[in-house]
Amino acid sequence: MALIGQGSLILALLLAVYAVGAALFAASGRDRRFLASARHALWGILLLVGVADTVFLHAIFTHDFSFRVVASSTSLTLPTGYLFTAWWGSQAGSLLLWATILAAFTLIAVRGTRRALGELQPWLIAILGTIAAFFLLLLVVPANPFITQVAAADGVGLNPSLQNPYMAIHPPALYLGYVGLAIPFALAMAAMLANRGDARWVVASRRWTLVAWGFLGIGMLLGSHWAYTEVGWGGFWAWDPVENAALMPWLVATAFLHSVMVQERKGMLKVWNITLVAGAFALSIFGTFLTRSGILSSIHAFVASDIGWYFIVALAVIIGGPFALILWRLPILRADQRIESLASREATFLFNNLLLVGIAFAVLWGVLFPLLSDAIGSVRQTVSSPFYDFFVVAFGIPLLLLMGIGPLIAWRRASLRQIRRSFLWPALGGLVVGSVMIVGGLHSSWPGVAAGSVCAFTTVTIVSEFVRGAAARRRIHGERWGIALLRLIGRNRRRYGGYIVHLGVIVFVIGAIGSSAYQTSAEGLLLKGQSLTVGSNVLTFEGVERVRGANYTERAAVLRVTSDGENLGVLRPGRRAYVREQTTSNEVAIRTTLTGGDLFVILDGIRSDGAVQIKAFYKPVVALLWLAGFIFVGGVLLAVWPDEREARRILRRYTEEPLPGES
Amino acid sequence: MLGVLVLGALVVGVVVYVAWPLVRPASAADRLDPLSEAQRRRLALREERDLALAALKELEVDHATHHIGDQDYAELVAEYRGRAAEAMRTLDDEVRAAE
Repeated sequence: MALIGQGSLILALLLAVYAVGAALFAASGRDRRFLASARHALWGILLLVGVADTVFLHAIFTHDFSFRVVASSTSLTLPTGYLFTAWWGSQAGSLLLWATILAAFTLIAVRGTRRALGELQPWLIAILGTIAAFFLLLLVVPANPFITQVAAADGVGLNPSLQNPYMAIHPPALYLGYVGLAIPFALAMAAMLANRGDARWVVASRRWTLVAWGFLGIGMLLGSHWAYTEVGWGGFWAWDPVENAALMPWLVATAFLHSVMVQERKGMLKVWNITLVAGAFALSIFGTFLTRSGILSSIHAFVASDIGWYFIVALAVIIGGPFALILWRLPILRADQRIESLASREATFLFNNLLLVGIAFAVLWGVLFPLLSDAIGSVRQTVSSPFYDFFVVAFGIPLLLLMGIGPLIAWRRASLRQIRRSFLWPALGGLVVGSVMIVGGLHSSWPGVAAGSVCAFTTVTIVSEFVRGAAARRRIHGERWGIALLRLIGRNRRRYGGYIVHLGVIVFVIGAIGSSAYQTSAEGLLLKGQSLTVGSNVLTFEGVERVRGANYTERAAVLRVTSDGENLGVLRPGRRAYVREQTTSNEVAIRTTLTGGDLFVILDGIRSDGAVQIKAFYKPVVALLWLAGFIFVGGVLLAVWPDEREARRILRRYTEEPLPGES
Repeated sequence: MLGVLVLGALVVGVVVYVAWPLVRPASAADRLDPLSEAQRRRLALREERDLALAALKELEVDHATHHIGDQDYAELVAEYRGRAAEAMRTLDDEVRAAE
């Protein structure tokens, strides 16, 4: 079987190289047969990578420990559900997943742009084929999933923290995001290579960016929930480099999704948009490099790593290539218009871009600094939460404010009178909430009050956008409120989908501030019958319970929860010992209240006399974080949903039949 | 042995499939020629026309939702109508000249 898997990957690599060559030959020799052949090669790559996936999964599910990767990431006792997640539990497996998604996305992108972006096709295939060849080369040489050994009796098992249902969807969601960003990158590069300065590539890449960005966002939220429920330290975001690896391309892609509107409407920011698309993809490769090269554990691990230098070369090409292309095509990338006024929607988008890229740079520096200090000096310096928190507060609050200001200001310019009129209610909303926070004693910090006020300002703005739009439809078309609102959203999906995403961001911010700034905690060593109070909840220790799972044994503290004398049930925080993996993990116990707060309990240890060390938190409104995820997904789906009328309009613009004598 | 056979079948199948378009007439659906100067001009005019029309639609929404005052609205509508009309006129001229 290993021969089939390995042979398929080698053949896929050869096909990727052929696809690149055939596409370039088609572009230079104007031979359409080679273009068709290159497209067939893409199908071949997908088929062969699919065969490799099948062989790999077959080896995992049949416990074929003659495959080194299977032996190092699974075991006989690993539950069947987690055998599937073992696909991306290893370096080789995760790179195979990368290659699979890329092969599928490449075909969809190439087929989807054949009609409207005909002359870009060879370049698109050449660029995506090169990226595919890079990942296939990694799989054939340094990260081969089909290396065999003398079969062991059992494998060493999967990292216990990965044995969580979230691991079935969190990594694939992130990979869909990382890989998805390759398509806008390839479209932008193809447009420049084909000497196309028009907005067609922008229109084609908008939806791809939105999809990739949506997956990255979902992936990060799922990762946060996994960290919250599985890692067991009581938080949802630790500014870990692996988390930052996904956040950076997401931030840059967010900037692109805003600035792309300026290019579509005003013909401005062409160079900037190409830079953002290239930056987002470079950061997605950088993220993969961070998580897969071993550089996070130490610079020495990176030097010893098999794949680190491949990624360094790839990053140099991904950063240097677009830079050279932009310089080459500068004459066709000049802006058609200029920003007329700072009080205009395009100006707010520009400020929003600067802030988003600013946060991305701060996070990048926070990730790079320890690596550089490790490489230059002998001691690795660390960058901790206060560094990131400072930039998130300093740049994030103005960003939230711009989310509210943008919709209130018209394109091109806004008069002072109009600004006064538009800002009145949102500003009042912000003032009222800020005052209530101060008077009500909820001002844990001034940035917290500012964030609360700005959230209120922006919420009022967004709600009023829906109300004003529906009211206008009622006035013009005489529709009822419900119909007017539905048609307003249905006919402007991108705009109102964006507003819904903004609402999701606000809900997330409120959840993040509320659950961290207003949390209460308690810690104590409890003997049987003793209690610990956290907030209004009393936890009474009733004893230790033993549970045996498929591949672990767990000892859990049984804690009765009461509040004002009312019995609220039992919580069982535990510690699991994984036999095969020879590690332990914390299993936190969480009780979500009707008001969206969580009683979060960690078992820190069990003494020989039966006493348990308990740490408990009450985190108000933490459920808003996860609610924000649903709102975010709803907004993204609405924005990305195909709009037939717009698609027809765009197709007509870019595919008008050639005139006589021109074909 | 089975592995060699499966791999051999894959190689043959893929090679035939990839080579197949090379021995068939090219599809007329594929365009490889770069845009001519005239096509580029017309594309730019179509983009200009569509940008102006989209801006007019957006202005209408902004005006209906009171984001823009009457005076600014009137000025900008006149400007964008002029730009759209000019683009359409030039586009028509280009098409007629080519015919």
